[in-house]
Amino acid sequence: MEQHAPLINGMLRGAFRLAAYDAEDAFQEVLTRVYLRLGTIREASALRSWIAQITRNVALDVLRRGGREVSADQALVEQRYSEPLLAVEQAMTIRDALDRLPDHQREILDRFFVRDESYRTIAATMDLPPGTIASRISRALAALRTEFEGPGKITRG
Amino acid sequence: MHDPLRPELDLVAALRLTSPPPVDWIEAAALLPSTLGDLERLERTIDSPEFRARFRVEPEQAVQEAGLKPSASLLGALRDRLEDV
Repeated sequence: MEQHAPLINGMLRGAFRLAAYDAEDAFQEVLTRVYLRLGTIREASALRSWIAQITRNVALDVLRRGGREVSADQALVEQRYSEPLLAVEQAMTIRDALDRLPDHQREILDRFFVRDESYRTIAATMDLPPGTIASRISRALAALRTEFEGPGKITRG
Repeated sequence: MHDPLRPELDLVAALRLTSPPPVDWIEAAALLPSTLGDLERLERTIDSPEFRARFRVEPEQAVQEAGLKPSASLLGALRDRLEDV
């Protein structure tokens, strides 16, 4: 289930803009619903969209409980959140590409861009010379771009 | 003007947008199946007339025999719950 945590977190915090304390409760509520109904899923390939749907429902429940205005009109709700939800969906394809990178490249990108660790911390943790961190990040980012776009689609400048 | 760094910046923004939640959220979620299993077992246990009769005489023993840890909070909650039954 851990592999779906970025999707759930991205939707709760990024698309629905829940505060951290609301997002934490919502995260547990999503996974509770998932665990309780996991047996009803027939197709493993449908798991991600099913979890996304549960996350969306939980987030809207949290917003309503918190007194935030959420239209009862389904079309209006779709209109308001469709763009940020689409951004999360597209971002997940990039995260999938990240997951396909070699461990060392994935780790350095995660540490620098997601965890905001300094060059010095990364160098110490990954046992690398500090002077090589910038170039390693640059190479890992290029590798991610290639993995995401495919080698034939890279255009420079 | 074309910005050659734009694609990389988009990749970084996507990684940030889908960053994993804090570790303690994931650790708490990992305990959910066990917690939910305990709750289900607890509900079944409470529904059992045999358990209720045993609990009135020897609460800790009854809880242990039901496969649950007889913590003070659980015993207290069961006493409250069974008074209502």
